[in-house]
Amino acid sequence: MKRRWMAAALAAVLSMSVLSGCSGSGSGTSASTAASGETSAVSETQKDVAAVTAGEDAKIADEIDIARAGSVTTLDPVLLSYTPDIQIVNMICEELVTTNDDGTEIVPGLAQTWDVSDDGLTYTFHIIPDLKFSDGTDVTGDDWKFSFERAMTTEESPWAFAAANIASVDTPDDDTVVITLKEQAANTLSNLSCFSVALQSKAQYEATNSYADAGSYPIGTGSYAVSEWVQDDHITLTANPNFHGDAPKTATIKFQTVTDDNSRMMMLKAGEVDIVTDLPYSSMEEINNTDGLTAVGLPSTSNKYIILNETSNEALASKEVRQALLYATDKQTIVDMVLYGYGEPAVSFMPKNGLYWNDTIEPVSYDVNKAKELLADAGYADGFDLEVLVPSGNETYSQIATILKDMWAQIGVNLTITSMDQAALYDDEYAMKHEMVFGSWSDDIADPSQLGAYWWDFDASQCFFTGYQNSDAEEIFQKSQTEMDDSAREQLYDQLQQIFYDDVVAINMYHAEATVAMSDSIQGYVQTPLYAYRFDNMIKVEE
Amino acid sequence: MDVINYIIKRILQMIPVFIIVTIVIFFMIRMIPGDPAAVMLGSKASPEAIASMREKMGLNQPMWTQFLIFLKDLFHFDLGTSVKYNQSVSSLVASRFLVTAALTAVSTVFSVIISFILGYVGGMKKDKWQDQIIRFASLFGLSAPTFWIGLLLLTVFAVNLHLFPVSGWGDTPLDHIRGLILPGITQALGVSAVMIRNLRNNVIEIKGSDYVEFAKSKGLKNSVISSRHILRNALIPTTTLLALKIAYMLGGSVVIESVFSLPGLGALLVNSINARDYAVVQGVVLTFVIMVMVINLLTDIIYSILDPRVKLS
Repeated sequence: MKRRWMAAALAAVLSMSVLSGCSGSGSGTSASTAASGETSAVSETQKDVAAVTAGEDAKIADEIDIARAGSVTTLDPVLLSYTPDIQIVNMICEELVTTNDDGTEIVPGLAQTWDVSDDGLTYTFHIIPDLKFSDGTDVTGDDWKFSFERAMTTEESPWAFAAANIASVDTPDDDTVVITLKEQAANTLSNLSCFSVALQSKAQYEATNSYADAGSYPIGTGSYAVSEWVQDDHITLTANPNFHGDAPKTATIKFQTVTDDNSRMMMLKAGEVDIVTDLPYSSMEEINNTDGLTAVGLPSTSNKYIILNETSNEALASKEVRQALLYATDKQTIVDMVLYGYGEPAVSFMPKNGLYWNDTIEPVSYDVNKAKELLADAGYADGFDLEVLVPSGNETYSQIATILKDMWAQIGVNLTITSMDQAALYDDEYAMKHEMVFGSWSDDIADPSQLGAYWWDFDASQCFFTGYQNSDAEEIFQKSQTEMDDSAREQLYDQLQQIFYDDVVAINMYHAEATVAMSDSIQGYVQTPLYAYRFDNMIKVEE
Repeated sequence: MDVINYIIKRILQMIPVFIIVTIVIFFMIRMIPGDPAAVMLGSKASPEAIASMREKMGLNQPMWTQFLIFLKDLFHFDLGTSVKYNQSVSSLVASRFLVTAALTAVSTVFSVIISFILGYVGGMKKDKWQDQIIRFASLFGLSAPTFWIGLLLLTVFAVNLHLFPVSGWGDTPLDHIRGLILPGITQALGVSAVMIRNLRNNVIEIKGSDYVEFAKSKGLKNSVISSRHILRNALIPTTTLLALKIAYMLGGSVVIESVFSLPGLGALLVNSINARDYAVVQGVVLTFVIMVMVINLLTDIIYSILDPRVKLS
């Protein structure tokens, strides 16, 4: 008898420990600590982490270690696609012009000044004289021509938009670059700030068999250069000895790849790395409550959408039905539960604080009754079935899907969640076989035309895989591409944002902040909303 | 000699298996939905860009043509090139092989130490307090998820005590070994539970057998009885189990390598499947097949050494 009781007690204890073990895995999305929109009182802001307070003679470290979730797959500026690649290329290569740290304006890059012809078709850029690449070789006109040619002629490039409007590139001398456009465009300078048209050494390209050799990388003029790259493990950058500006304060920056969220956090806590990116929102508070560590949310250009495919589900083809879903979505709750307050509900499809972002559109309120009314009017009083495809392993999307399932059940919409591997999901998405997926966007240039083209040029993505076609909207967008007057262009984008919201082309869920955690010894951390690193002034103060 | 002939015979038997696996994997991975070009270029690429990339990657050719090209290359011992890493598959696999082999070796050493000692002690001290503790611990190890145990070990030994790195392979051989200790123990714990029970049961059974009684009555010293009769006989079935577990650990390396950031074959396999890097997936699967077959071969040989009644045939 006694043995039976003991066995039962043992079983109970073990099952509890197993269950607690299950929730401790993955990216730690434990729902129990959902903050109600407040961030910890000790959390710092973007300005705090960017500030450098240490004196000139403070002792600083030679190397700063950063752990990221993703690894670099390629550093070819024309063919790369993922954020870890883009971040490195942005540090080692530079463009004619670039954006300021806020991501709001175009400022001189390698070009100190430029002249625009009266017809707006010819831009003459005056380059910093005596420019050298990081390997000491001189920059010549050939290097500029080659860099642009690659961007202009590589069909497979996801960044073809940046060079699409360039008719020709001439270099009358090594310090002058003349770009002739096909037609006038307001986004010319923004496109020229894209990493795909960054200056690269032609000699390096040829020496690496057109970047086809394993582990090959471009040689640029950036403040840092690649010194070591072990695929899937780490990439180390060291200060460029031939940099044309002030040398960066920290000699070496090492980016390590640590895919597991928990491992990344532990490395920070153990002091093995100094900075950690891609921190899960649920861990922000824990880091802020740890002595010596800080977690901050930074402005970003990210948008998350609920993509409803009008062509595969009859109900979704009706505007009233989509509006009903909008009314039935409590965006603030999603922001609280998924982002732990590090973001805000979105009304516009464009990034927050980006150029022409319209924050005056009146959002509808969360209203379940109104939603039911709209559904009934559209002929779906009993609701309907809907399937959402979620990439497996993506905790955020799984969480959002689960929340939406609950919310939409209240109006009779039965949402089933299907998990699929990412590549298979892309297949279905491109073939428009999905009913609903989640969409994500962040800008690569400081101009809404990149995002605009993705939404409003139907061939680009079938309106972000919604199948929504509106020739008026498409015309408005085409007009905005050649409109040179700033306020006129702004009005065109206002119209697009209003049409988008009224027709519920997609449901704009939220603008999220980018998260980063670092040791308190780090100062001068700067990251633009376009997710580019500006680490020239970053230091690690040693006690 | 017998053993050499046996090895040669086994290797010859491996070849047809090898060929069949190659063919199956080749077609299977290409039939899964998912376009390597789309994954490589990302979601912002236009349909034209993706089509262009597909052409460049030779994906538009009919499946049989691609297979014939693959066979031709295989004949020259060329496993193909990785589209993601721009490296030959053989050099890619070779560089990662060391990590996974080292991890499996370290895990095996730890599981042998843990399970052989605890299993033997548990069996010899049946129902005494040592045995109770060992049984409880092994039940715990069996039930608790491996990665949870791994996280616990990390928190205590890496984060708090700074004895081992949280993750990573490191740069020097010493770093490598330090980096393998925690993952090795984690994998070993997951596997040991079953082996402890197995060995313990064998020991108990043998302890109660006739020849051990006879040995005792002959007046043999306890230590001689333990080593020559009990331990050696008890280890035979456990060794077979160990071989199975090693093959299991090779598969488990996928999870462990991700959690501890070790650049091994498991992590490579996962990344390649996600990227639909066909050539690499084939290369890694073939490598795993060879490793498992070699382990089985070694197990059979060791078995025949341990048990003289077994003849290699």
